[in-house]
Amino acid sequence: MTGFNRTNPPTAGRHNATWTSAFLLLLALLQLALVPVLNGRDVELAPLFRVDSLGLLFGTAWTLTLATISIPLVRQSEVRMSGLFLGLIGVDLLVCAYAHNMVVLAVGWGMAGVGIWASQNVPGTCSKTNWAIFNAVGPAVIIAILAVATGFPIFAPPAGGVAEPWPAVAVMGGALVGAFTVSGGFRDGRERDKNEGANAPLTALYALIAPYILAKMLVTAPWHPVGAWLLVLFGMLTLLIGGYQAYVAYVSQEQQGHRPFSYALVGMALVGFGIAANSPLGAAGATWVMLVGLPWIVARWWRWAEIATLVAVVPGLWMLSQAALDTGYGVVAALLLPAYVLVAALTFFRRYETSLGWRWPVTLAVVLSLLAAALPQVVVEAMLKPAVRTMAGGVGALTTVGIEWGVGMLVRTAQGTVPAALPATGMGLAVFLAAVVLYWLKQLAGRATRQTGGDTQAE
Amino acid sequence: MNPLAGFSDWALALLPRMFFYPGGLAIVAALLLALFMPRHATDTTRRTLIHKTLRLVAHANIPGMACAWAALSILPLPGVSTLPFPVDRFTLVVVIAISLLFDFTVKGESNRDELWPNLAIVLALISPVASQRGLVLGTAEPDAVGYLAGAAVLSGLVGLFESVGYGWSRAARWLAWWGAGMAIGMVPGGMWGLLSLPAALALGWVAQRLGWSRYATLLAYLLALGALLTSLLLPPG
Repeated sequence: MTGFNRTNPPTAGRHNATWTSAFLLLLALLQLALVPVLNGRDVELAPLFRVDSLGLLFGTAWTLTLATISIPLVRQSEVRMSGLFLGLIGVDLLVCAYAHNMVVLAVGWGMAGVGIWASQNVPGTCSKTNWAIFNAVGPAVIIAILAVATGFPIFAPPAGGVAEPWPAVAVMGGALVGAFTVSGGFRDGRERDKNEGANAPLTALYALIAPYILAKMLVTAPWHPVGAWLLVLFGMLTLLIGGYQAYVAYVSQEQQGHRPFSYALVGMALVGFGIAANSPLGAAGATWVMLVGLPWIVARWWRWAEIATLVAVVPGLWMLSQAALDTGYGVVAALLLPAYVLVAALTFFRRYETSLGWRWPVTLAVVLSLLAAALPQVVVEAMLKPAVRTMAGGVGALTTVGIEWGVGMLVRTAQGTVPAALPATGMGLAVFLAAVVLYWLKQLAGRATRQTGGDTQAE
Repeated sequence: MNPLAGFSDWALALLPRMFFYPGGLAIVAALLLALFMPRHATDTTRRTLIHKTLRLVAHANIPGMACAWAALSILPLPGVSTLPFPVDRFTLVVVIAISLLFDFTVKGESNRDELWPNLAIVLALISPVASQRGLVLGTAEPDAVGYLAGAAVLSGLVGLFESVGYGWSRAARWLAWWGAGMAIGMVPGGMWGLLSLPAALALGWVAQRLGWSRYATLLAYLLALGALLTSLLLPPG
């Protein structure tokens, strides 16, 4: 088994790991420092970069996640200079996050893919194949083709007037990039996934960046209606493929890798971005799902931590469901929750149990997830609204979400009706109160049972 | 609204619901349900009722039970004052589903088959939204979709009955699903609704004795899919 191991971690990579993590953490902190400086403004650094709220959100989140997983990754790695590779992957992800145009995005995406391939390229394994290299650069090649076909578009809202919608073929090209990325194709990684190899968090992170190209495209323009419909269909299929994979692993009694759940998250994000042009709530839900998937990568190694991250997906799912109803995708709204419950339960049921070997990243992931689940209003106001505002070319402002700071959030239509309400904070209070009462009841009953000579076996 | 005022309004409305009706009453009922329901397991030792009760409480899965209790407390059942903040169908269903996930954290007596009837009920409860504009609970009279979904919920409850004896949280979740069906308007309200509870219990007991629980679960899926397909045929509204 090549899984994480808390006992006797190799000492060779320890020094490297600390420096890599510190470098990535520094990158994340620098970006955080930019938030108050920019104060919602976009900064053009043409022709390479464009710093906006969307880039800041994902750039910070990705580098923070990479910093968190880099220490165990480097310590356990059998690859020389894995710390350097991880640092470069961090930089590549930033190139993607702040790409000014599709060419820069293709370069960043490709370099990130090659970095992940190289960091997996352990002597004696099958990743040294043309197929693996093709898969590493495949998404970047599609983005490059897309860039040529659409006239080298830049990721900025139209200066005036309404932008010409992305043609359906371009939308499907974006979806294809996502599919290519999430399926990974890293044969070595896939083999290792069965045993949850040391690189699994890295491939999971790479999978979760998949829908980002769609978010960037929405900065420029909306979808063609046919493209939007195809994207929703593609997203639902991806979600169902995740469910199918989870079911197959469940039936064959294999332990689950990250893929089924990654597919589910990416599928939901594709659905959200598909309906985003007609409902900003969809863009918000998709962004939420992409964000809360990141703590899941870190926390899924411990059962209580994983469940906190599974719960954190719920507000995003709620937004996606209501957005689907807003745009007339009733069947999508009806299937999203059951499909998510299926994937989450099966993933959780046959989960791989091991230890990350480092407690604070897991604790941080759990705390962030629980805060996001119980106080989604904060995330919506501080992160999602600026991010959706950045997608001004293709998505309207997120004005329908009403925030009740003390209880939760609701959706309010222009007519004043409330089609959806999620009292997340209120429900958090209810669960907390119930848990406190149950804890004391359980203590009392346990003491009484022991006094009468009962057993102590768990339920 | 002032955030603190909103929070305190919610808390004040929640407390009587949690500790009296419907939450308080429901968790006591769930305890009784778990206590008297037949259990497959190897627990063949003779114990007093008090000892069995203490054992159920002492071995309760706190997070799973807490989620089910919270769901039971917010049910918009007849005779309960409305909450100061609306609760939609999604919230109600998802809190009970999270309770199920928490129960999976406990490695115990065969809970692997418990997922399927629960999933059928989730599908049944959420499928009517396909023909609606929003997730909020409707006040309209139940239609064909509602009846099909209600039948799916009851059939799912029959299939899920086997698990009730395994723990307090499972019994609470069983009741919460029934309550959610009633609150959403799928299980008929009033006396008929109350009669559906003993009916589901009796049918569940019979299905368990005859080994038909899986057929009930299958029927629940068919009915839930029927509800979904029917709702797709209806005009949105």
